[in-house]
Amino acid sequence: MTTLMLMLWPLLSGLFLFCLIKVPTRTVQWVNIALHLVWGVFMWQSWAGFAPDQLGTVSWSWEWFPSLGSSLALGVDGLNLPLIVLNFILSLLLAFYSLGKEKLGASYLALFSILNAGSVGSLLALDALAFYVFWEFMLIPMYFLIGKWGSKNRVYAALKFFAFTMAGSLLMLLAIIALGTEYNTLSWNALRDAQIPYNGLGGFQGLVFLGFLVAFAVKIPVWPLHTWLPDAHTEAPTGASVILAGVLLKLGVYGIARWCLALFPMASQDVAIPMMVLGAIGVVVGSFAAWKQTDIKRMIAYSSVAHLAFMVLGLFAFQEEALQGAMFQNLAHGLSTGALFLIFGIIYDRTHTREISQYGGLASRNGLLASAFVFSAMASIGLPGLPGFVGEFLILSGTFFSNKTIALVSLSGVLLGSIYMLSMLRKVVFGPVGPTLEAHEIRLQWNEWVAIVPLLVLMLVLGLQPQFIFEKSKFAVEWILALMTSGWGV
Amino acid sequence: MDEAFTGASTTLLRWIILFPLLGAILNGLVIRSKSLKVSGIVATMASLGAFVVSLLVVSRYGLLSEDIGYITDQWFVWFNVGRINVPFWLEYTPLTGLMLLVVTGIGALIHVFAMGYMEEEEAPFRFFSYLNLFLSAMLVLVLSSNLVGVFMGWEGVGLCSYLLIGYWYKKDENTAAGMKAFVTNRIGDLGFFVALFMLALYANTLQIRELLTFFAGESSQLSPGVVLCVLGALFWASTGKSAQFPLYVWLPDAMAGPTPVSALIHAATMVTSGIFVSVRLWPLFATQPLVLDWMLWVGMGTAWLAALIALTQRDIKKVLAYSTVSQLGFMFVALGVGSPVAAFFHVITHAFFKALLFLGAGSVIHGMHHDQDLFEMGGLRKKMPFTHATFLIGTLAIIGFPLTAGFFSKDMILAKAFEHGPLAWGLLLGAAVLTAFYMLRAYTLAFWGEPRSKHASHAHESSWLMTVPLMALALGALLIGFIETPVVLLDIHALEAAVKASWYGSSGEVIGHHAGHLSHATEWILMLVTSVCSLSVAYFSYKKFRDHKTKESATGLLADLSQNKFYVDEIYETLLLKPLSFVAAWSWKIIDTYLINGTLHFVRNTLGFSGQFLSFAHTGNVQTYAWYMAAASAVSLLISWWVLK
Repeated sequence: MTTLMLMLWPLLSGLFLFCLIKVPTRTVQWVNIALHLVWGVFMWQSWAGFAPDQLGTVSWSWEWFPSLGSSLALGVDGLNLPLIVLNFILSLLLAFYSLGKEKLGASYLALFSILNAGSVGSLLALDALAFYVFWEFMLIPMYFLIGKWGSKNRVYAALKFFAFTMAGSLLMLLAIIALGTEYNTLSWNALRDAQIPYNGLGGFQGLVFLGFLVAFAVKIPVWPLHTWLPDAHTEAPTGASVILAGVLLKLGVYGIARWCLALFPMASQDVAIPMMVLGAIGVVVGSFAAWKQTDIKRMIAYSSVAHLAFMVLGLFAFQEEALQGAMFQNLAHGLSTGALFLIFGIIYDRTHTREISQYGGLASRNGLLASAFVFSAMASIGLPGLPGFVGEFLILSGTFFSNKTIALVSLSGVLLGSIYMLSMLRKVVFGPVGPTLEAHEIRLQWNEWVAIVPLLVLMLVLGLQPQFIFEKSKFAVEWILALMTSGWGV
Repeated sequence: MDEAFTGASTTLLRWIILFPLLGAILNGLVIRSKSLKVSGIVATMASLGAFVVSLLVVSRYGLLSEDIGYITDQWFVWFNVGRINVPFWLEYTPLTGLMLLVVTGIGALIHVFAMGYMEEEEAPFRFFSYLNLFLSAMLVLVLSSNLVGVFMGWEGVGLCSYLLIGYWYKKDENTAAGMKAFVTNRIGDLGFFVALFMLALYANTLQIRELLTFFAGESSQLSPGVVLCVLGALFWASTGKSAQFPLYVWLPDAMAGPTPVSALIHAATMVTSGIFVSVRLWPLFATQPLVLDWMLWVGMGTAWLAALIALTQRDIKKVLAYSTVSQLGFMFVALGVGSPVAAFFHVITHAFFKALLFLGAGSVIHGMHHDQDLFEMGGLRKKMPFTHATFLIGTLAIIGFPLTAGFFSKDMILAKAFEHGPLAWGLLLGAAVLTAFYMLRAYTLAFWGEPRSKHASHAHESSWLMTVPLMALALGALLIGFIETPVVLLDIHALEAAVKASWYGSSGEVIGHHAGHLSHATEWILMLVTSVCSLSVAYFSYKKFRDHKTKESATGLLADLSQNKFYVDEIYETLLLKPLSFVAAWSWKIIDTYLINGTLHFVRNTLGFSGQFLSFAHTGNVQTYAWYMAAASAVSLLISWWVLK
């Protein structure tokens, strides 16, 4: 039941918030926080009751399409729990951030809650159809969040986001239908036990696998399917950017681990080298692009492209270090990039410009906020002691163990990351005070600090004590890797 | 960890790191006092705390004994995934003990000095917080028993260096210098990454003790090719952090930071970490004469290049910066000729006299109202007697005046170079002679002759907060050399014993290298030749610049090359940075804008699937959206239910 409530509670909250459209904004925002706190109780129960040696254990299920062998099956395990909790934490902090912002009223908060239901639902789903429903379900609130609360180019960005993801998902739908008709079941456990035979990428397993892979590759996004992301990030309102970077992109990485590697291990091995090459290209080209951006959010978006490309390496290196690193980097990147978007969002609320050249001198205007920004940037470029290092280091060492050339090419991302991040800091945080900050006071309200500080603390905790996360995902990761070495023998 | 290692476990070591860390947190996050006294005293107490604990540790476990056992502080598990096992443990060896004393001792003195130097700052708590944070990162580097932990310190000191170089962030060039330091160091750090990957893959451990116990010496199970790659990569990393060719270019620019920072980070401690790590891992290096050759010639080239540049610099801090690069080159030469003891000896003596020189320069700059141009100075010896006396001691130490600290360490390096071959010795002697010239030039221009500017004629001696650390360091620059002296002169070998006791029983003999012992006569002759050459050139330089009047720079081909730093920055800019920047811009524009988005827009336009298409839905009314959503979900669910049931 707790598992169901993880998904159902935000859905109900969303519907409830829709009814509060006439209530004063501030009240609704407090109600939203209260709803989050209740959601947090379910989170706590799942976290505390977690058994580390579980993979794909269904804890709540409702048989909704018996003819397809599909049921709404939900379960918590080491692959999804950390991401679900990250989703909750980011959403809670955004609830605090939105306090007192007149524009972020009932409808915004409602869409946000519904988005959470979609993302948590797709994380929890242990049935392909259920997964697909939640996966698509996320698009709708996100489309409106970008399309209505976004900035100038929002309609273009929203449509691009929608079209890209839709195109990817359609292939996944085809794959799911094929699976359902062939095996008469869509349950993750049953499909896993069915041990779908493999005869090349053109065979059944191969094609179905590719259907899933494309959908996830769009979401991550893997180069060259990434161009929707800079637009979506740039135009999205702050909260949507944070969730987009913090959770939605991670669903692609998670999806590959859960639905591609675990169900189609042989096909996964056959695409490993091409995928790692795309990952290495993504690291280099994404970093190059980030370096040359003149818009701060677009720059952070491209940095996400580069960082997510690291995770693609981690997924397809088939080494324990790399896969654990990729799952961990999901959290690390969620926190650091979430913090960057949040902090910049707070600045943007006051200045309404994203042009790097208009900034400069943030440190003179608000030293503490500048420190928080630098801190998050350092986490993003993988300074040891902060979580990005642990993730990147593990991913790169695992990749090195399996393919030295690809690892060495991707290692350049560590250098390029420092170039684009520090260039941005130089122009935004340091130097003489630029025109924008000359004209605007940057003084934070208490609730904005409440949104930022926990992120920084969490980064320190995960940077110095990451082991408890690895303990959570260890069983699942080892299981998947055993599959890679011995095929269906396990 | 391996059970075979016996020894003591202690929780004392972590306090050496925690004291400055707590100081940084107190100053940076808790107190945030605008008072120089409050923040300065907190930071100084924190570094003194680390010094006291270091003293305690050193006196408890000793420096000289062969068999001190395995003294660790098993603090916590950082992460442990697959082959990457990283306990965050600290370990004491005599080598670390010495480094601890140098870092915390000189660090504490520099904190005191900074309390005088930073008196005009509005909010010095940020400065002291960074300075403390630097100390704790440096101590992580020194104490960590695991190479990933060392790397944490390695990058941590890089971060603090970045923050402190750009401390006066309102000026863009300071931030630019900080960024140059960070990025250049990261180019080196790629090598550190590669070394870690290779060791994890082939040696299956990243614990220094296990690496040295199992993989050093003739019986190593690692293939020589692997060790060569690992050590080559580590040396590459060292050229970044320890400012060797081709990555030294960040260090001169780093002088943009406050002078105490230059003294602590960019002279005494951080920049020597490349050498420190090499000495710590020496038994591995000893198996690879090829890497030692690289060290020898890269170090030699850097020593010369930097010394030539230092000849004509006008900025007193730039002279000292290039001198640091050059002296670090000496240390790499020492490693290259197979003498880690000489290299580490020079690390220690250099820490004293170069910190002294930088702080002396700081005192001069303070007295000169932040004018750093040597040609604007002159005659300061009467206005600033304490600064003058101590700067003179520092100068004598660095040029190797007999019986000062620099004399012993430089003499040891030269003797070892002579054992290696006359070419190495001759070239190194040349670099030493250049040192004597440019150092006496800087000293004479600043302190002798008549004042050449208003600032110089109104210069004043600094407060006791600045002169007392100067005197303490001067004492060190005079006496610290006596921890290791030649056979012909007192025959003390404390340092050698300490360093050799830190390799877990490995002798550290270079493979295939048979150290011939120099006869006593040769040692005396070498010492004499070095001293006579250096001192006569020093005297020549003093005579030449004593009555220097003009403020014009020298001209001529060589002088131009030297003043313009052999155009190395410009060459990097043209050959590396601009092409890379061009490729980045080009790859983004061509690939993303034209190829990918261009194709997409083409497809969209052909299909008539334009942005207008869905805009009918874009009413802006949220309740309408909600209805769309609810209706669409319901309809799709119903349809699928009905179809599939």
